[in-house]
Amino acid sequence: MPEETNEKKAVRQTGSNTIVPVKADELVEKAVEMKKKGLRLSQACCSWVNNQYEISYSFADDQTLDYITLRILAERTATISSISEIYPYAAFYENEMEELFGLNIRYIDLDYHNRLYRIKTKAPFLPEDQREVATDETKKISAPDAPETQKEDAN
Amino acid sequence: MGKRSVIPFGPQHPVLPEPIHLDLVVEDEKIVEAIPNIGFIHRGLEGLAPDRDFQKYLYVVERTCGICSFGHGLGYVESIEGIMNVEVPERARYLRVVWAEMARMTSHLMWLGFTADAFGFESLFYEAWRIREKVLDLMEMTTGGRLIYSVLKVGGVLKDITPDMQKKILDDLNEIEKETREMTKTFLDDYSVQTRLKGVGVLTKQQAHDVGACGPMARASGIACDMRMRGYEAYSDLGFEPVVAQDGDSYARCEVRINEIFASIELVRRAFEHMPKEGDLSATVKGNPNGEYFARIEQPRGEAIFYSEGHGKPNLDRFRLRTPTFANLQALCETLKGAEYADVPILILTIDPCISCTER
Repeated sequence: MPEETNEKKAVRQTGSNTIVPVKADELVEKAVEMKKKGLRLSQACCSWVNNQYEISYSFADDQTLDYITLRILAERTATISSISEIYPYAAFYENEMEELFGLNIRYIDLDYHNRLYRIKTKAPFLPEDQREVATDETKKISAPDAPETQKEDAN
Repeated sequence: MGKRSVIPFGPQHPVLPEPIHLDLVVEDEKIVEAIPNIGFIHRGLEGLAPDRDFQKYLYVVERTCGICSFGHGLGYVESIEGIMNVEVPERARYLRVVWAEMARMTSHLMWLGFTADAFGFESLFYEAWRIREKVLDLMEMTTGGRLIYSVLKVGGVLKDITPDMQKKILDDLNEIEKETREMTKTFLDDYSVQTRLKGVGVLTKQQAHDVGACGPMARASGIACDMRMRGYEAYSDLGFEPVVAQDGDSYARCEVRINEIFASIELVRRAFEHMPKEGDLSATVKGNPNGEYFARIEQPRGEAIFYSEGHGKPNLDRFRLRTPTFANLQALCETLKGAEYADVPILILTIDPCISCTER
């Protein structure tokens, strides 16, 4: 395994930000912990580095100005569970990751089904050879309906 | 329960400066739910990062938005300086604060004009924008630009503010402060303005926290959170304190932004007072970024986050910008619940939406 990947599996500090690696199936549980501590979800984003996803959910403490980022490393075909049940405003970030990077995210409260930005190219921020990997079928079944406007646009 | 209907609002609407669409679920003229919809002008600027040299990509980041371009450039260079451990010269840090605060003033004055226009007070709109012109003139004098300033570089700044310019800025700021105080009386004391803003779109402190609001939107609800408290650049030397209001309504948001204009004027004065008389404008930057960094700065609309990740090549592997409006959309939906349909334009404006930023 590359040295860099091993390094990314350890808790580390970048500036005032603490990056805490978590497994994909621990994300919801960790998000509940953050919520209990009264932290605000500050941002969520995704990168494609070394042929895998680096997913970051960052939480801010507005009292101490501390910043904690939960970091998940995931394969292209992996599916993660949405935290929008815990932080409703995570839905926009998750829709963005889903549309730009083709990341499979289940149970997003307000799921735009890849129509948030209306981009015709599938997963435009991924390398071309990664774009056509099959999406998660279970997500398609369990996801709630898209808002009316997106449906019209899709037609 | 009355009959519920869905009214589409935007993306083209006379009161909207930029395109956003809302599906408003209304019941007897009261809004019960609002579903936001963006994506009409998405440009994919983040996607350009892997194709550009990290120094040149600064010019792309600055063009994310025409209102807060300085802040975007500042956040980006901070993220790169964070990765590369670059020590920015002291004078450059103060100059950055001066420009950041003047940019904040132009943004808030523009917002005041838009808001006055939204409730039909045209002369107030002209007055706010007339004062804004004076700040823009100062930006033009010091940077050469009125919209995109391009005075930043990784490691420092490209231009200096001479003693003559400094004197001119301080003289003009006295005048701007006096004129803004006059205008403030109308914004905060006029009966007709109060009827449009007071008690409209209340967001309590708890609600603001629950929806992740940031910037003036959160501070107007009593949350004393401002990224300048982190003391980045030279803010730690300037005795900065956030401007906060308690009522959480549109009036409180207006009050916070007006008081932030005065706070910015004071910060510029203090910055000139503390700034070293001479010194380098930039540090030497060698090599390429290798690592990752989250920079957080306070834009006029709130907390903006700049994430850069590089692996020793001239191009970044990933650049991510989370804008304040992106975070405040949920707060907008919360304030719309229970509001009258006629108040929708004012409520959209009170989050000070910048959709161009949001759709990088």
